[in-house]
Amino acid sequence: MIGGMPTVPAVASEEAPASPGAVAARAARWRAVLIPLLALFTSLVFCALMLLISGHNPLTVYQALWTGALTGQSAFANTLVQTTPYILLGLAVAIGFKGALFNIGAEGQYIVGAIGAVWAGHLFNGAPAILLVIFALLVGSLVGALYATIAGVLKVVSGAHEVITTIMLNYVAAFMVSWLVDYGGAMHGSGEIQQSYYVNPGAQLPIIWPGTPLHAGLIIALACAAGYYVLVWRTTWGFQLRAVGLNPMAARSAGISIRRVTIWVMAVSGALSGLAGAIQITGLQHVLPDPFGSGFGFDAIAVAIIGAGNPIGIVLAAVLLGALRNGATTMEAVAGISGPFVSVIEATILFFVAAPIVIRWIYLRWRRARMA
Amino acid sequence: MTATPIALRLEHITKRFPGVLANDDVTIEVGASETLAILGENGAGKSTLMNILSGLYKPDEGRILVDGKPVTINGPLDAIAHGIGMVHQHFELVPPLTVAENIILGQEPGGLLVDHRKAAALVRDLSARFGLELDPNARVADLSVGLQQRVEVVKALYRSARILILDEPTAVLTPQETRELFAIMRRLSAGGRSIIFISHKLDEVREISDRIVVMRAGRVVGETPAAGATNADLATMMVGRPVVLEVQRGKAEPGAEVLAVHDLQVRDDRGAVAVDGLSFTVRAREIFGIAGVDGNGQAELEETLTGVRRAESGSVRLLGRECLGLSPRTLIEMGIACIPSDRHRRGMVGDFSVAENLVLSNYDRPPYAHGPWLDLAAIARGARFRVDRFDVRTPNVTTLARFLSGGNQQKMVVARELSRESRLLLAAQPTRGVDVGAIEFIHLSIARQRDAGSAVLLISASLDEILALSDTIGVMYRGRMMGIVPRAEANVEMLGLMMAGTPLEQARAAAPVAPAPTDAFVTGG
Repeated sequence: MIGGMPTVPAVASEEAPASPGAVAARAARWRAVLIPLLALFTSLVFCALMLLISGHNPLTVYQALWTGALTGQSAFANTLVQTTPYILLGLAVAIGFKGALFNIGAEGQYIVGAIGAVWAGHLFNGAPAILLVIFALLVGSLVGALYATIAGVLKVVSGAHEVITTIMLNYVAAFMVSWLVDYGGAMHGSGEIQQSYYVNPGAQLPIIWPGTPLHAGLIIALACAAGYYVLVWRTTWGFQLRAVGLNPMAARSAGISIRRVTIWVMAVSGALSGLAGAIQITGLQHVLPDPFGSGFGFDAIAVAIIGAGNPIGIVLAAVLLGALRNGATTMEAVAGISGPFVSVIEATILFFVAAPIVIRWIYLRWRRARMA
Repeated sequence: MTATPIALRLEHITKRFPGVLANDDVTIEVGASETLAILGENGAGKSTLMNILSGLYKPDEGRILVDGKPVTINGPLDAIAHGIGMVHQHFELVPPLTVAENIILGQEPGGLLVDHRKAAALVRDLSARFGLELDPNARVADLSVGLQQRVEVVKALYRSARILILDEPTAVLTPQETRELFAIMRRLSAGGRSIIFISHKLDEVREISDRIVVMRAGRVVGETPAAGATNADLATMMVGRPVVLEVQRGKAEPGAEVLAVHDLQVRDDRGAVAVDGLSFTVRAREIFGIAGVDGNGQAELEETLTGVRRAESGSVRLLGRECLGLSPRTLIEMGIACIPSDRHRRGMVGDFSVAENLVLSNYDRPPYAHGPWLDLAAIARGARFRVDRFDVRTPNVTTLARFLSGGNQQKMVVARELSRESRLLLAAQPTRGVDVGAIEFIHLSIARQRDAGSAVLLISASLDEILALSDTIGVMYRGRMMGIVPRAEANVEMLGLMMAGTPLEQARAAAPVAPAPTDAFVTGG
């Protein structure tokens, strides 16, 4: 619309490579990598101090943790088994964060996804295994998506905050398990044990590391991490999501529909959580016990935050938390610390990651003191 | 300067930030009862210097002397204790608290329990004494930008400042109110106070100050008594090269009617009437300027025209088609482009890159996307082209927008909005907080848009900007149009009266139409 624009005579540019803008940008990138690492290191030191104070040897404890989590084929495989749901749930929570939504309901969506998968995996018999598995996984994802959409719609229509609605839905999901799976329930198995019927042998994910429980779910999870990257940064949908998450007012002024984005991102988040539940059933447990969710959905919030919302970070954070969980039993046996101590480590990592100011204060002070 | 005692002296002040030397060996003096103006572009270092004075930063080198004695200012409390009071350009108010609470913050009357009645009375007294009308019990969050500015000024006066620093205070005042502020400033300085006045507005600076100091790139590059200084000299010192002060534009030849607003009623967030039966039209190849002090319904008008706010009643037609009730997306597709008044909230996503911001409205169509897939290479290419064409200074197009200076952010928004086919360009406060070099460019871009056939609706609190650009001028006051006049019949007096509520006929009578003053316009808005 503009005719030939006059070129403005070039003033000596104050935006040369060493401009404040470029320097700040570079600094921000460094910080993104450094903060989680420093947080991890700081929390290990902090927890070591706590152990010392209570009369334990931190080295023994950490060694037991390490051994239990990573040494030996069996230990490592088990760690990876724990990692799988963390990856998917971490992605689910992270994608919510990208849209400035707090999906605390990953736990509930995980549960209903598992319910769906058990039902679907029990439904048919005799069909080729791969179809049965895919069917179960799809049903699990779909149920998770629909469940999360409830919260999304409530938010769009009435402004109900998703933190509250999703937490309430978590409870509903947990009780749904009891209702369906306990003695007398529609999905009850056999006998007195409070668990559902088994999925049919066909509807089970193959083992990818013979001799261990490690199943193909890990591959699906990693594929989803890659898919997350593509979805968020390479599609128009992802562009809308990020815009709404970073500045909803500007997004709206530019013509993006916040309502549509909200509902869709809850659906995708729920689908990932539901898929995690479905994979846990078809890959590991093959049956739905009561109670089912073991707090994966809440740990996933930690995974998403430590992983700083990017897929590689989330996978690494998931491995970290998976290792901690797996190493807990060994740590308990060998070093005499009760298992939940890993939750303390996890919590301190989370604290230091979520409070980068504290990290910066500790290390920059130290650096400035050295330079003075 | 030797006759009057020196109230404040900044000696060899140097301040470094990572990657930039914000203040470079700056030495400035202010005498008692003197009004000193500091002129400079964004990034010249004036705000840093003032932040050092008011205790927010510590200088790396140099010292500060108050009344001849060196002082250390470790924080804002020290500054206040030394009688330095600052009214910041970007307000430091607590939105959920009331006017009175904000003013007394930190120096509350009463013992353990805050004496709110006394606070309100004190505020009313200060308001009356200095002629700055304020409701002590109003919530700051509900006030317009202009009124918030007033709260800041009264806050400084409450703290008995003897050295008063005013950072762009007139950005949101009418000419009459500015004159009143100047009268207050003269009264304050006659009583012995020193005033440091930071502004981009050359005419005001020459009118109110005794001496003018010009800063550029962190250094003092010039100093002159206000008497005898010309706008051209000052602008040249500020920018380092001769600046075009008049906006060259073709003669106005308005075409068909593009935008027709009729009896528009809009309420603000509090439920009060913000736009009260507004009617006007804008034609193709015409710049219709709406003048008015910030807070008289302009923001609500802007939001209604872009679809983010629902109107109560009335009609807005774009080329005959009703716009009210349509979504922002539809309005964009119908051909409305908007440079929003609040670029941080509505114009750009700070954590998006420059390239991403440039496709904020059309990321989902070719060539930037094919189906659901973004074409990152095409986006980057388009961005590089526009960055070049619109002179957006950025290290590269992947830099996050929030790292750009205010002027370049605004140029980025302008680049996005003017690169689209549009029937109507809505430019709201397009040069607020923008440096001189960028202002020149943005004005040129708007004028070109008009010459190319677009209708332009310019909303601005800066009368100079309105007079420099508009073909037709309307004045908004309390949501109503006080009057609409062609540019040739307008002058500052008349418009100023209308901005304060005088209807057109009376204003015209009170301010006889003189030949239009020169379009000398260099301000930061």
